Amino acid sequence: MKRKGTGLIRTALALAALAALLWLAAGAILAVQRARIGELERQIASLTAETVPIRFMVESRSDDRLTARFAFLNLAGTEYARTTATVRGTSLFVDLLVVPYGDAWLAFPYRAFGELEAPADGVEFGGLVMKDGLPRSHEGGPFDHGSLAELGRLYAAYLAGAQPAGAFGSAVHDVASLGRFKLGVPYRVVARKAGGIEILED
Amino acid sequence: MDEGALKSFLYGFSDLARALFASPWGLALVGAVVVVVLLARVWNAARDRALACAAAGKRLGAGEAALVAVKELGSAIVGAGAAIPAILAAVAAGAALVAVADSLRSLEEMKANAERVRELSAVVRHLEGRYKVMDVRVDSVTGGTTTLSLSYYASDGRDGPAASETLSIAGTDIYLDAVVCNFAYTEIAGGREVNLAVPYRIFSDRVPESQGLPLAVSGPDGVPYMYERAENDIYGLAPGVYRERLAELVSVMGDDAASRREGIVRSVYGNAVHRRVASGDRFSVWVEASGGLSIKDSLRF
Repeated sequence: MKRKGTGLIRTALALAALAALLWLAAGAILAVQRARIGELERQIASLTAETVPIRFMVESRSDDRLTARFAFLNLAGTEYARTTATVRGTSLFVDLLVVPYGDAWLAFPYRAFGELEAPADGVEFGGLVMKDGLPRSHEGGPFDHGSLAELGRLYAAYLAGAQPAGAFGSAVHDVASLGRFKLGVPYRVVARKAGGIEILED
Repeated sequence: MDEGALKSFLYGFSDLARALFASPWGLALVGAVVVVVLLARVWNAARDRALACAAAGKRLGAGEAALVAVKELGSAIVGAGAAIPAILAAVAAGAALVAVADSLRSLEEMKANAERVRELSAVVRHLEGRYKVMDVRVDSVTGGTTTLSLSYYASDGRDGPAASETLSIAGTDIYLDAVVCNFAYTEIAGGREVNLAVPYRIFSDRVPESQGLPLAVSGPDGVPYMYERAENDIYGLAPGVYRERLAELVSVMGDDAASRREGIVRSVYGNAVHRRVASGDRFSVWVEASGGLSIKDSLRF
């Protein structure tokens, strides 16, 4: 009788140990899976996230002139500058400099122009963006003073005519056949993590 | 017992065991039951002794009652000690059942998680995707004029570019202009759509867009190369139906407001990507699944 009882206990303990092992293994696998899911969800959020460096609104449009009001926003979404510019044409081109930085791309306001003028004759935004050698466009985010200074040097070099490695410009604009920017309607210029620039109606 | 009933039993047992032994309220309840059982046992023993005393014409004193209680508690403890092997076996069996139930639940969660990882990976793959629109080779930059060779790509799986041309334009900051159609993220993430870009004009820092040069990006049937996708790429339809849908799509692109109302398209606009070039430069223009155009040279891949 005693032997039978001991055997029962041993069997129960062995089963419990086996089940505990299974439980521990499953827990480890689940932890790995949950971490992977979290990482993928963060990746998706980052790919679809948007930063808005510029908001604008077309105030008036004639046959060969277009006047628009621009608001410049930093990474925290705080407006740091505002201006009104007139360009030659009926289409508005909002030009940004896109620079690779780590695994992301950063967008700096560059200039605005119309289809009737050469981009070089457009309105430059560099003076509004830069202050004491730092790009205000990237304040309010993860960059410390040193990183901002580095970005400032990059941006200043581009404004001075250099071509930083990997950087490119991206001018977004309305297209006559698809419909002009509506007068008095605010639009936002959106920068994506992969380097794309988009215009969305606010 | 079928699988469902077995699972129900295991999960029910596991939940009950957890509720009783792994929560303060459960432990309090178990403790209260043990205390009540012990009190009942002591009460019974004391009452029996009191009846015996009454039969003998005596009265049960407080000291004797306390002795009865201590004796009864001691006998309960001794009884429990004798049952330790059985209690251990029951605890081990119970723990094993709980662990089995948890493992089964974990297996189910693992299966669901694996499916979720597959889905999310597909979403990331779709959102990280990009399609090449054109290759640019700068043949020369002389006297402020740039000569470029442009190669346009279709996404129908054919090897190499669909067409090429060579152009010269004044200026050294070259703007490659395109109409871009970004679909809603739900469409992109689900792999149902890919963003489109139709390049149509080249201008420069010195040449206004209105005086730019048109790009020869359409095939003999007038369909831009970027639209000539493999049937499965967008619609998974027969070629004839695909062409019909293509016409619909072009019409949707033609009415930005309507397409946004329909929730298919996020944005349609012009996008001129540009770069200051030097002789010998090579780069490619891509349409990003996350939206917009980009210039990336082969060194970045």
